[in-house]
Amino acid sequence: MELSTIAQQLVNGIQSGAIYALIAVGYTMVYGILRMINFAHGEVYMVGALVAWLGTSRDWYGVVSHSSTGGLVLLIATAMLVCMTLGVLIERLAYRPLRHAPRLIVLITAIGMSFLLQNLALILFGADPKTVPLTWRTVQLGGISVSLGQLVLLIASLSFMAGLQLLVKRTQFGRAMRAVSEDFQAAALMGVPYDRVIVGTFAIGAALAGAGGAMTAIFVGAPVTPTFGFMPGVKAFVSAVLGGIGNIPGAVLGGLLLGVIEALVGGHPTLSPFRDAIAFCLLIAVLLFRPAGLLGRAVQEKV
Amino acid sequence: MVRQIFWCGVAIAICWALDRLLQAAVYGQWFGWLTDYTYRAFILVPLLFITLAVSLNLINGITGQFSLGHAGFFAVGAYLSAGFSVYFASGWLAQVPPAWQGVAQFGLLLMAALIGAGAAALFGLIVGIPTLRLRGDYLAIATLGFGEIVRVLFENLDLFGAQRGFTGIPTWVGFGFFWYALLAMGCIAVSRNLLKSTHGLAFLSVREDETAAEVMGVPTTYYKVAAFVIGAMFAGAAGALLAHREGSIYPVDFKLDISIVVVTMVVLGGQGSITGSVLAGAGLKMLEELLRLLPVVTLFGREFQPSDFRMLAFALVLILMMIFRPQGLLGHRELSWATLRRWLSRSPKRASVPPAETPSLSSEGEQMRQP
Repeated sequence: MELSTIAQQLVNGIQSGAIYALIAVGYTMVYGILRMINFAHGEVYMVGALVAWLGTSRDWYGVVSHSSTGGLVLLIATAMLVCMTLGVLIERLAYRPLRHAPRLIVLITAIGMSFLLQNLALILFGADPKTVPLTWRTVQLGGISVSLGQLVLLIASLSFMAGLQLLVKRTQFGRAMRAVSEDFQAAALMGVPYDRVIVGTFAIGAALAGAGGAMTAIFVGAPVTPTFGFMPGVKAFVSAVLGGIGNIPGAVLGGLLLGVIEALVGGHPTLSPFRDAIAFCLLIAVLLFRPAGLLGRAVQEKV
Repeated sequence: MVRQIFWCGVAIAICWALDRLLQAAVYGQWFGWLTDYTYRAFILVPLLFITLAVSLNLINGITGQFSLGHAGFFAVGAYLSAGFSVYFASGWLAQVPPAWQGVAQFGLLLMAALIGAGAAALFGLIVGIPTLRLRGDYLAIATLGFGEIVRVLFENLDLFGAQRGFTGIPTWVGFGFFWYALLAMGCIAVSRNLLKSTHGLAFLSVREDETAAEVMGVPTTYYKVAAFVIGAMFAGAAGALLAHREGSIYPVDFKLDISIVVVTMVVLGGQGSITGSVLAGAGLKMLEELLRLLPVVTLFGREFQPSDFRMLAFALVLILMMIFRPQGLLGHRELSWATLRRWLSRSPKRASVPPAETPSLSSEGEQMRQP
């Protein structure tokens, strides 16, 4: 590959990596607290994208203007709000009744939830791909073409993640979250309202995934289908594992790394059909050779 | 040994006789409702899914692993056996004198099925060895990935027709009941006999408590891989039969949906219960067909076939089952003549008495291991 192609792929990789990272923090936070994989998280991302499409595909009494910054910000905020509600609902209806159930049961429920949302979207909106009717100007930077949308997306996701880091490290809620993920029971004994913390975690994770979905639809123009969130969701989970599950900066690092690796390997013409396989191979490799992930602490499994 | 061979012979004879009978009934139009379509939808497809569900039950239910890659093994069996038939066996068959065609076809089909089963088993081994060291949730993702990779692979290999589908597979299975029923019976028999053997206890011990099993000296990784290989083998054989019955296979036939559907069957029937898997496997497929009889609904300005809701229903069943009855319909129990007889012979007076508050261990144990 030529150098400029590599650079181009690098840019694309960072962009998709930023999205993986946005979804991955949701996985990692929920895993850190509940030790469960929220399979339905990818579908929350899809719902975010659907909201963005709904917002731009028709005229909401002129409230959402396609071209104005304010309109798009409002749209992304709406997507976040909708997804937040959805995340809380999922937790309340499906996962809370299973708080003390064996992990396998929770896992099956999560898979069921993921398929439920996918098929609900299929029935409500149909299977045809939906594209947000917006195009972004492309700028040339020394042979690399970057669309303005990609730039906005990158900046926005980085600021979202910075905000999350602040929230987790500096606020009381963040401290409660860290306490619950450290030791569920001890935190409860210290008076941390863990039910509220869990709901909050789901809400934040879902909001970030929703923002990711909405931004992918708006800024990248990816066609939205009911299975829009499935692969990104699974890959984001791989990113979370890659960075060390339960670790928020790790999830960001893992997401970016996976995005770049995928773009570089998948950019090769003969390998491109097997793009989706890279993430799974990576997952198996990480779990075999460094199960704690890149930034994770190795924890001995208690018997 | 003689007894086993005798019973195998009886099974083959019964399948063959039923096959003939059904053929006569379908082609002779004995009954108005038994057409080629209903035969396929209510007998063949359920038989196929019984095989898939029972083989997945060995992995998910009995050994307590969580595989989402069953469609992948199914696909490997279908594609590789079809490849063998199309690229090699058809040529061989052409050289056989006409008088021997029937026998040769039978032998080649058997070979193709064995190749499908063997290839799937090999894949099970390849996937199993690295991934089975993983714990439940990671295993689910890794096997899901495997299933997707297999599908993408066949979607891109021109040798196997890529996205156009692999067509022109010799339809040696023919009518199909004989082979499908034989495979389903074989799968059930192997699962049942495994469960009754010492190995069965080892499989169960892995499910119940892996650490404890390890401490007691059960080579847990070995049993996990073994469950994977056996389960994959039957799924592969099922794929081989599908390919040689339909004559063409498409990558979309092996989507993740199939894995999820089969998982739903196992969960619904009760993880670990063979008869549960059989009932749920056949029942869900038949229900799905019955759904087609419902009228078309118009919702949100679009028309829906009732069967469009089936995946939604499967997902709902999965969630509700996990929340309200995680052990499945049958739990770990098996439905057998003995349980049926006991159930029927219970006097009405006793039946009206509410069940004992404390679950009695002895009855549970009796139900799990039938004499």
